Amino acid sequence: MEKITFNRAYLETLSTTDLVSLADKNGIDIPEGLNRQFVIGELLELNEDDPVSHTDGGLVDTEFTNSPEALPETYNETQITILLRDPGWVFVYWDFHSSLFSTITANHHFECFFLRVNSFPIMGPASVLDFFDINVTPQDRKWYVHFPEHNMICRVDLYARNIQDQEQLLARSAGLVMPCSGICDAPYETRRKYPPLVELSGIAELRMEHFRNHRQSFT
Amino acid sequence: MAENSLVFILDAEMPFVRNLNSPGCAEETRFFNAISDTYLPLLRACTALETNGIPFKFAIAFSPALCEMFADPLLQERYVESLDSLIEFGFKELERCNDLAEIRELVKIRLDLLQLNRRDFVEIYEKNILKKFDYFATHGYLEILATTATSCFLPLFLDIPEAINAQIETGLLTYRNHFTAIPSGFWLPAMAYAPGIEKILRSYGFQYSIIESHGLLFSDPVPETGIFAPACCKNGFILYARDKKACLEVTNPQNGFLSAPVYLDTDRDIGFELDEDMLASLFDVKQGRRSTGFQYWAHGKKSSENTFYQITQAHNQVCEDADSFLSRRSSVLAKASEIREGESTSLVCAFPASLFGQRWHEGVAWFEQLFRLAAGRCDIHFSLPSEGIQQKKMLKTFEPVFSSWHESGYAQEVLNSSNDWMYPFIRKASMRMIDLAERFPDDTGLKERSLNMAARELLLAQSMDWFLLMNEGAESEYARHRFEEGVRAFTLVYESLGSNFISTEWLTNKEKNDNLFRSINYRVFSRKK
Repeated sequence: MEKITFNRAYLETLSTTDLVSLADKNGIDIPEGLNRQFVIGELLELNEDDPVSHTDGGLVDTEFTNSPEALPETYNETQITILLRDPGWVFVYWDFHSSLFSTITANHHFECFFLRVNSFPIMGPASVLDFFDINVTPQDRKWYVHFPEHNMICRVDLYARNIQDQEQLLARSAGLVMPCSGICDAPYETRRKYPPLVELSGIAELRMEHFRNHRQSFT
Repeated sequence: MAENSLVFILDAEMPFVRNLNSPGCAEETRFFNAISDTYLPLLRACTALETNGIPFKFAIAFSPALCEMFADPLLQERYVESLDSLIEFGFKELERCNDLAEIRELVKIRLDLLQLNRRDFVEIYEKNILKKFDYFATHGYLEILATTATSCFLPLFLDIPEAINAQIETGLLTYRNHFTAIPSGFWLPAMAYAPGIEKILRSYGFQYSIIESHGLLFSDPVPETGIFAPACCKNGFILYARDKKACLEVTNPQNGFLSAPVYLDTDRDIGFELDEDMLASLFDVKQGRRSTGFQYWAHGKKSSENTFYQITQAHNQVCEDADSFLSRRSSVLAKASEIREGESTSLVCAFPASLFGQRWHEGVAWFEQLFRLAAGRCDIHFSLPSEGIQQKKMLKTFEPVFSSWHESGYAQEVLNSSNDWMYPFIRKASMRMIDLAERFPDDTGLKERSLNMAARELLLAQSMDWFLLMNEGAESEYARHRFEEGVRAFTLVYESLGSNFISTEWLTNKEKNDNLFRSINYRVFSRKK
């Protein structure tokens, strides 16, 4: 009988009936009700000494790529990440482990998810100086947050809240240093004097332009 | 006597557009137009300056991905074919415009340029223009800066230093394949800086980079030399700040040089105007209309005005604009030098190379004219950035702040509602690649090939080109496709390494198509021990 070469990726695409049929064709006796993984295992054993099947340090050649058609909707991990967009805004995105998400949302006490935006000093003890909360829906996975503090560390935590006001911390982002420096003062304030070469460099126009575009970053 | 110098830096960058099985796509044409309108004219300008004994100096940062496209035989061959098609089309265009004397003249000029480009590309540069840039670098005219493998917006990966290391190391590896020098300067893509990047760059032996003006001017305390001298980070790494105001004199769409009424309106190209049948010999309109280089109209004083392009008028304007640019810089530098009590001062102008010849048709001529005019003046000269960092001990120390050369000054262009969906994927893939490099440190054969392919696809997907193109309605589909394709290919390898199965046919095809960074080593993603 002609020997057929197959691999796990290919076998995984077959229905259980087809697997049993394939095993039968290859002379493997499959007891009724046997788990399909065992059937696949039996079929793969046929390949073990097959010179056609190229192996390389454990990586086996297969004719199927199983290339994912679309990018995954979730990586099935509960985590939250923040990215600095400009001195006034951070972008926050998060994801849930599916079972945790199901458990939380199925609980009849569940009220909402929310983001807690914390500020910490850059120097000194890592204690929260201030925070505010933003409610998000269970469908939300990203948010742009205005962070009004400068020269502070921003950290965003993902929480679930239930109707008894109990909060459950789900994930915590890394801390992000929010830049400050020259743009903290509104440009019409004259108290700041610059060295002549800095003036000649165009600091006044720059501050005006930044005030126009990023006025929320000015305190 | 104080030396007042101008430092010019060009950012030569383009998306990776090679597609083995789909010749003639609009993105490929854009790459060919860049060769025709920017890089070949730039080399001709340098050659003319050298021949005439005119001193010229500038720096250029070639994106390694672009270098790989320049050096790719398939794209070189396709470029020659595209020139042949354009030349043939040009003769037909001469016939079509038989009764329109002004247009006929412009078609002839374009035809001459196309034939010149073909001759230069094939006979003089033997299809690889990088060699000539390297020649100018080894002869002290140019400084070729190192940069990341693809144009990655580094501040958004600062918390994944391995990803930044991989970009830098692969970039350096590619640099060595194409250029002779050992680069001391590093070009930050989009001049995007965030505190901490200087430490990484210093660890690779780089001495300096360039940031946008507010990256220096908003630091506290601000170096008292402003943008007129480079300044030193605490770790000794040197940063130049770009003179944004000077650059806007050129690029401002409202009143910058490039919008002068007599200059060529590069948006009014027959590729966007003629019937499908008439363009059929050049490209399939269904694959997207595009620029052909056959452009006949000047901007005019009003957008509705139809003014034929007059090459003599444009040339006169080029001379005038170059002179006024130099005079203004000279005047500012003289003031700065006076404040510094006679000490040397410098200003840095950095532009995307695509500005010259593509966005601004006369840009290369203007650039060449700057050197010709400066040669006759004693108040200003051009220098290389590495020449300005010699007296490091004299430089002021400062703490630069987050900044980029994008219009927002920060990351808004690469992080907004049209492209923010990309970050979870690209960052996850980056972390997975680090994990793979740790799990398979010594693998060889098929596994190594797969890991190298994963690293290559990841570097490509990290390019900010895709993020920026997502803001452009017409090109967002292409950007989405290329980004998703890269992440999917990476994911496929990642999952294959988990299941121990991979299709060598798929891998080989992928290697043939995305054939850049041939000497890539996926271990560049390893954590530094």
